[in-house]
Amino acid sequence: MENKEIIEKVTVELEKYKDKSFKVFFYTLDTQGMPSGSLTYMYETAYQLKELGYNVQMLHSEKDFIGVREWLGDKYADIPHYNIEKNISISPADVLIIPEIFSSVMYQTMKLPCKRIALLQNFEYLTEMTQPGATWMDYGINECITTSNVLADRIKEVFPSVKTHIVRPSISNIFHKTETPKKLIINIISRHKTDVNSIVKPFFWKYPMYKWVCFRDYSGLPKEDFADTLKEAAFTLWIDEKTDFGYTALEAMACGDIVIGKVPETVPEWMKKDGDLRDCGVWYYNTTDAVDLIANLVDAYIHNGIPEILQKEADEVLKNYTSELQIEDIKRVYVDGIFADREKELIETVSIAKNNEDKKG
Amino acid sequence: MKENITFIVPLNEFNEAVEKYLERAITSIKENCNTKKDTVIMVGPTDVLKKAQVVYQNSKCKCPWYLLENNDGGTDPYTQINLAVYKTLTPYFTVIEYDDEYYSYWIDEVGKYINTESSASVYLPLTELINTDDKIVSFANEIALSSSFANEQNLGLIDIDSLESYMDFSVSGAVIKTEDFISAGGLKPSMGIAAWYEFLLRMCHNAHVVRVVPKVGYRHTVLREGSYSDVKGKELTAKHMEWLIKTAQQEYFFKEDRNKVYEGEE
Repeated sequence: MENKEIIEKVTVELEKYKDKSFKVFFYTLDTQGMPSGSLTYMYETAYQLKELGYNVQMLHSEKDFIGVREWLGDKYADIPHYNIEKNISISPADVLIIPEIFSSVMYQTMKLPCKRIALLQNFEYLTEMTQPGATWMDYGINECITTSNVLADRIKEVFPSVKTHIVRPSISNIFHKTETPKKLIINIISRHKTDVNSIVKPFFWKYPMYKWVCFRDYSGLPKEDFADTLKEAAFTLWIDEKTDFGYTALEAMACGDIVIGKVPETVPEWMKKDGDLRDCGVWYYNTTDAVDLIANLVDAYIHNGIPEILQKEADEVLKNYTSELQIEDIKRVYVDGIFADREKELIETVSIAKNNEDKKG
Repeated sequence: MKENITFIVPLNEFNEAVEKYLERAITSIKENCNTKKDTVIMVGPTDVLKKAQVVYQNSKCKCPWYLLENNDGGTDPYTQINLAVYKTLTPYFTVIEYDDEYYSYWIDEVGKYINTESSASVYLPLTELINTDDKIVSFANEIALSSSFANEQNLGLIDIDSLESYMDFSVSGAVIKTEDFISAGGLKPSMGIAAWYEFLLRMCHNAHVVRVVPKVGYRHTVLREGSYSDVKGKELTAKHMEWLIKTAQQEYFFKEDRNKVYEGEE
């Protein structure tokens, strides 16, 4: 492209930063109506940027896109959604956020003129979906947004040149304690039915005096219904070994549940304090330990003997995941970081083109 | 608990065993009562109350108390309880058998329910059934917390259907709304050991909410030789017991005690 052409086109792009009309795309998965913590995080970011006046659009490649309306709600579903395979106009001023699961999209969008940034929430998705030998840098991705220092450190181990930014998730304020006394219900949140059976059945066999204890296996509920089930129950048994963050555990804590959890393979940041597992929940490593743990907790609960430290520590943990803090991170990372940097890059491009033109002259 | 409560202690005899158990019962009242608001009523024959009074005074329980003398026959606990409740001035009352005890947090726990919903008329505790060696034999009232007994929305609530299939609820230690007890007609002494069962049926029939709180609030001594239920249990034949249950299931429609009498085995 000729220098004059560059100056002209990029100047037009720069104007979009003055009125926030440049587009911020989030490439999204369609979970077919199934709730997802990772998707909630991305939509929350998208929504907050929209509230800050940015031109946010969700991109997908589904023919029959179902979306998030049923489980996340209207305000998220009403963010404009477009199929990337239809004619979408993408320009140098725009920014495209691509979740780690879409390494194919990272490859396919290499030639797009916009700024592309990876969004990392689950390291396993990255390893599963990236071709052996391929790196983000091969796809032209050299920046990444993630949810914790733990994940930022993990990505730096394998892609040391990728610049990382941390935007903390928030726990929605629909998850909160109520004054109503709780029912003696143990909610079970697990990806696999076998996890549930391997605990519940032995519990009743080993502790027949607790045969009246109610276990409730709930998954796939809309967010508000899910919040209601958490608010009602005294305990949440959380089994998610593959998680990198553990939204459900925090949501349960926010509702005042005592969380009994299997320690994930990657221990979430909030679960540790001074190097040890934090007393914000009751943790176990082996499924065989869970049965006795639950029995002890039921006994403590019915005798009013649950240690106060559990709730206290849970409240301390939750202070780090408020929507106010998330909005601060979004402003710092996106507005004052990525968008400002992109604007500087475009200004630099114009400046270089002008210098080149002057030298020609 | 914000609301005031009366602790009712029915007594019909006094001996060394009663004295030992009564001390324990009063200590547990002491741990639960608010000395500025609550009351203790001990009800029974005069000579029994005189001795019980000494035990109470020695306990240094500062809860205001008084003795309700009942010498005119009707020394069954149900008549005594009715008498005491009709004298009660507090919005709630609870009955403790002299050989039982509360857990120290029980009244506060019920208070949490009353302070947030206050719709129930009867709050039953999870009860530990203990033998005379103080060993836990089993729970009582736990069935209402099971999802096989009540659907999840009604976990902890008791209704007519569930009462007709399960009769074995233990009401000692429950916190009961005084005006609802009185307006429903109180206990029917003629029902004998089925009196509390018939009362629960009648409360549910009158659309009063009966709830089991998922906290162990009470320790109930069972299998104690010489206790009222032990004596009555030995007197009753299986057919008589069956008749009592069936009669309870018919009589709950009526507020007054129609004094149905068992006519014996055929």
